[in-house]
Amino acid sequence: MVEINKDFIKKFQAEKKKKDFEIIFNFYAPKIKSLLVRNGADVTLAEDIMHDTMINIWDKIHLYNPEKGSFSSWIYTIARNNRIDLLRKKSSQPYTDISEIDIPSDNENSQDIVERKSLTEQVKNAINLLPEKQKKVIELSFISDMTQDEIAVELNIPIGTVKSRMRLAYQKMKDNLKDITA
Amino acid sequence: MKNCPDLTTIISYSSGVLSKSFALLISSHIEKCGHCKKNIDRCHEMGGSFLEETENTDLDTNSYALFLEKLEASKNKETQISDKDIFDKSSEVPISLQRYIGRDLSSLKWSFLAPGIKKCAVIIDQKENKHLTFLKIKSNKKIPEHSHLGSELTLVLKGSFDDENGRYMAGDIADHDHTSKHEPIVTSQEDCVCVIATDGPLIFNSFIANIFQSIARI
Repeated sequence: MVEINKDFIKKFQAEKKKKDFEIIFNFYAPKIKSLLVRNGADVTLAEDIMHDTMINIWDKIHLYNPEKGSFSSWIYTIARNNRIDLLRKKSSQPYTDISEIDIPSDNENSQDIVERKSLTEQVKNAINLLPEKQKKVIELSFISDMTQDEIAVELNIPIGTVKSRMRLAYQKMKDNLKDITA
Repeated sequence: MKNCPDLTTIISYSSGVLSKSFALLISSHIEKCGHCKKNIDRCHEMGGSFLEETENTDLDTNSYALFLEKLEASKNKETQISDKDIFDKSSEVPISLQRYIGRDLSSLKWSFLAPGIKKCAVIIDQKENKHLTFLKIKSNKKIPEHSHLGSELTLVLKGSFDDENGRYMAGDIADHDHTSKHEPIVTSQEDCVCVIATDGPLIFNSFIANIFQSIARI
């Protein structure tokens, strides 16, 4: 099985071959559709939105810069924007995102570069080290598409507790990342 | 940047659950805030990690072939102009807002709200009747003390104001929820121009201020 790593993506960006994109499609499309179905889309709509997302990925592949983040996080932001625009149908204009605008982050250093080498794997490990309650609020936000108010209702806890668990989860995730990469 | 959004607002922005008006103000802030951009990058990595971990769902038969057909068809459609094509990085208007108000704050059509205060409501979503409220406030003017039923984000575009939490300069965001109460006062010599997004009505603590609210509709 071909691994979707930096070299593979670089090659695809340069050559843009459909047979290479099929590998990207086969890995990400079932996951993108799965998230959409979990968030209430019927399977036909989920398939349509997934296709639109894959078209965006094809069209924008030249904008992906591995130095700025993992390929999965880039795909995640595109899938998220499509989900907002098409699943919720709340907007008459596309979701505005800064991902296409070149904005530097603070203090790029060697630590950041190390972090990015296998960032997704490290983030996965860091999330798995979170206490269950903290992990839950983050999952509900990222996977179940819930607002802080909705999470409070779902877990039957005050919104202040949702916020404090989110903050703790983020801080812990950041600390875990440092430990993992140390 | 001195005043940034609450970390939980950043997380909600990354997961895509903020309303459009809130998301616009956050993306406007991030354009000039490397600290928040880095936090957003980390949150997006969490999103990417969750995506990779998600269990697969079966695709329709011939899904990839159908995708290729749609891809070919999409090439014939008119290319949409993206923000990247129209933005002006040197403008005092953040790129994220230029789609809605143009590149120049002076193009806003201000109307009288109260002595020393002008407002301009800009529709950002006609279907949902969502808008952003821009305020232009003269030096030393106060917005009456208020709390919130929901959340309120205020992004400073020009000038500065102070409240109980400190001074807010251009690019700063004041992020208030139902627990906070504040009475902003403009401290810059020039007019302060800011843009406000709310998801619940403000609660003013005086009769006169309530009249102000009924006119301002914020």
